[in-house]
Amino acid sequence: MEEVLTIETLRTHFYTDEGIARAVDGVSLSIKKKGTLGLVGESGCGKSMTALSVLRLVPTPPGRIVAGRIRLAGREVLTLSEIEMRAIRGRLASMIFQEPMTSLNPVFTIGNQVVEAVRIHTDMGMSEARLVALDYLEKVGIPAARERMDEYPHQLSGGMKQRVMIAMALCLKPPLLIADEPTTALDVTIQAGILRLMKDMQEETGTAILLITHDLGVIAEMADEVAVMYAGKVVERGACETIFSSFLHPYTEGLFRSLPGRAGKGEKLYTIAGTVPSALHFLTDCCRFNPRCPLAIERCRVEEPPLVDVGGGHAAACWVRAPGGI
Amino acid sequence: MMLEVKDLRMYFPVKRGFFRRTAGYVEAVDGVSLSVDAGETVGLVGESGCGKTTVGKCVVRLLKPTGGSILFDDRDIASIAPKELKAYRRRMQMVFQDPFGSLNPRMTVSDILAEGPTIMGEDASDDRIAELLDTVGLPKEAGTRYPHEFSGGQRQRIGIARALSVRPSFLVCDEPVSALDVSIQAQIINLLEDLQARFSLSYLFVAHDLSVVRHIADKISVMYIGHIMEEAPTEELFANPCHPYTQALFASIPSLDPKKRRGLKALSGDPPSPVDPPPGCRFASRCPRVMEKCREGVINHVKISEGHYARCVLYY
Amino acid sequence: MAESHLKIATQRIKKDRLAVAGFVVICLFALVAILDVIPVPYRDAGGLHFNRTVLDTITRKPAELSYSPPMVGTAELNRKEFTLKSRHLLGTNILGEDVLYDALKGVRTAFIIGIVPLVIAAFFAIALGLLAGYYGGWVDDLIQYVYQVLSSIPGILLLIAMLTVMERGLWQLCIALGVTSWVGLCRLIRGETLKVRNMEYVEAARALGASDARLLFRQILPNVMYLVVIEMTLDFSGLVMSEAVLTFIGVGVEPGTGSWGRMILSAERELPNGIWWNLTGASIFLFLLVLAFNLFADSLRDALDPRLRKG
Repeated sequence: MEEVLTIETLRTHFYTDEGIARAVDGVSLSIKKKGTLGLVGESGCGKSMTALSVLRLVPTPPGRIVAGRIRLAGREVLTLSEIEMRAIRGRLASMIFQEPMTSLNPVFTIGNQVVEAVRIHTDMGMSEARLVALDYLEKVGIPAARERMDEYPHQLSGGMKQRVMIAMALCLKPPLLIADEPTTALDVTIQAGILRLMKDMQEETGTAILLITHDLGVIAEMADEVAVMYAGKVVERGACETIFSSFLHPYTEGLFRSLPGRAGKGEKLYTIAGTVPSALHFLTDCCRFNPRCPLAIERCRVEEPPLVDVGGGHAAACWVRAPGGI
Repeated sequence: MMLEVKDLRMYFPVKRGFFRRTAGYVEAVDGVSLSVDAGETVGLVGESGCGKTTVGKCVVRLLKPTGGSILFDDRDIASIAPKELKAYRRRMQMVFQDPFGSLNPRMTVSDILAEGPTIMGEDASDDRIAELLDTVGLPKEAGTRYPHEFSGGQRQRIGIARALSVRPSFLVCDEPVSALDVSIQAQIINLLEDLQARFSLSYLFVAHDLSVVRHIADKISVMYIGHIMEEAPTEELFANPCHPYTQALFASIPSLDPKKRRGLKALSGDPPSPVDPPPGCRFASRCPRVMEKCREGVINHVKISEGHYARCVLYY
Repeated sequence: MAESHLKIATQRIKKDRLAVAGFVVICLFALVAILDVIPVPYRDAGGLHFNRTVLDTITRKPAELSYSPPMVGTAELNRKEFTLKSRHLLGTNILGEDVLYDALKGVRTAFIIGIVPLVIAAFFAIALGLLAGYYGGWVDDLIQYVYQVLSSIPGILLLIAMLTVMERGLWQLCIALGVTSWVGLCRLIRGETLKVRNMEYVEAARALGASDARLLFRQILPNVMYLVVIEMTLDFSGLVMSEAVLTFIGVGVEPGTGSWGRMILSAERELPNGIWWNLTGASIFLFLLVLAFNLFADSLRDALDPRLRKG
């Protein structure tokens, strides 16, 4: 099986008092074994919900996965029972989050937490699990790991905590690691270390990574393939180099052009007109980006553009830039 | 020169024990000097915990500095009395980082914007509020609404309008765009630049995002654990970073070209604690080019070129 | 249309049917209390009197000769039957007075007892809580010392001591209850003030030149008020019930004031005679009002809690 994760037309909706928020609205993507897919977009585009849907961690009273298929390491995730899901979480796919502060349990030592992660999915005894835990804590670069195993999360810095999270996530060598803004809360020098660590660990354990972020720099450093999301949909995808050098979709273009580095000194920064719509009010039967798009034509207002392959695995959903298809 | 900060120090006492005895000091800011000319934007960059926000708060006297002087229009406001301070408050204001925590959730936007002028005894009428809202690109209907009805970018605009409500000539912008999405960041940065031109403002721009600071600042000071490590005009700093910390900082920034991956270098070691720190250079414990001399005494600023100074033994 | 916090809270509460039911019940009781406040002056041989209210005019019935169960036409006195002068929905007590009327008269007392002490307590709690939380240091130490000492004295003893010194009476009871029950709210307000004073919007106001007083009243107080509202609705029931208890043990309202506590007190004499309807009437009213408040208060607390906010 070439692909570790395949998502087909996933729809995750939230049923609130104010209406239905179609947070993920027809997302398809795939990740090759040992590959890294960068999922990029601004807040409210649905990227985090897509990730949570893979592990069925979407808060289910308001939220619900209403359509689509998710194939993870050969298993059809949406057909499994909750018990079967629990066996998968951490074993076939694990997740690390943005805030290491709240992801680690403050009343258990870090050693305990890694051991716990190991023992949930294997039948190792305490001492064997501790050896595995120690091994991974050393691998992720916790200095004096043997002593620090008995420390509590509050005794560690943000970067260290994130390393512990990575150890917990990878100690079982899952085929997929989902990282939701893993370095956003960290300083840039610490970020560099974490990203490098993720790359090294990926080499070692053969894990594929679904990397979610809004930071294009991180994507450039880490991703093989990129998918750009807007308003619950994927609007462009392709190889990382292709996206960066020859982006097609006007939204992708807007993201790149608004970066401070792109404008000369004294020049105005490029801005995308308007604001990101709320998931409660996504437009239908048209291109969702059209109210803010400088290239919008009549067709954009009345018909939703499909993702069209323009060659070499590069696809965009735009009537103007990728008109192909039937 | 509008603002000159000389040897600013801000120490926070660490109190322990039953009698709250002072057990030591957190040297959040330890001898920082910088200056801002009229109409200039000075960037103050550094990572979390370096003290840059503390510097910003001292400059607008939200904190009373432990030592040093802050010369605003040639008057040292570091230690003046509260009554005199109020007269200075209208000339210097602050734009805060958190668009969610910087606006009182129980006050309407009008009330928030009227607060400053009311305290200063100036025009706080509906017309003035509408004018302020217009200045930051918000409709006058926004006045009757509450902060939670607005997006992060809009809230930041309200915060900027509030800062402008007393007609200051100097603004400390404390990470004003860090909490915003990239496309909104661009809007706010453009707005700040427009306002600077329109109202002849000077900015002290505190941030950790180097690409933003590179775009907006005329000169930059790099801070690390309470000390300024290097300062230079913007382009000079990026062309010729001298201090090893500045170099490490630049080396950590991901490039935007997948073909030119840097293989980001990580800094080894741990930063020292700002509580009663060891003598010498504070970067010594992580510096790839550290020497014996680095851990002794006080390291002086060395002039590299016009306006470019580095606090490093390598350049003695 | 501006979405004030009141509007948001109202919308949230409307979704909770039980809370809405509770609120309706509270309103009905409040209506009774209001009717019992509006005087209807009347003239007789002694002059102009103001002690009759609208409620009296509507529901007062002349006393019967003796007690009678609910909804009967005749009753007994000294083994002789006599016809009742009017229909009594809940019967009459041992003195022949209409139970329903007594219960309705108790509503006003219940509201006064449920609200006034808290208003008094709120003054202390807000003033001291804000000061302690805002200034910290020795001010905080001093205030904490005061309320820690106060809360170490068993409340009931303090109450009895105060009431023994003051005369008996509804208002005296309110003062005593108010003065002895501000500590809990004060702690909450102190805690919330500690959090709020570090918020950036407070710093921003300080940068604009606001004085301490202005910061406390304009910036901090509006953000801690929700605690006062919640506390008042929660404590209402407790206070109404404590009036009943205190009257029962003899330190509550003076005789002559309508109160459920007095009705329950008379059960002491009545129950041995098989008169159960007086106690039951008072208890039902007490139970209904307390239940209504509890349902409403829970929903109100969730609606006002800023942490549960979505925006």
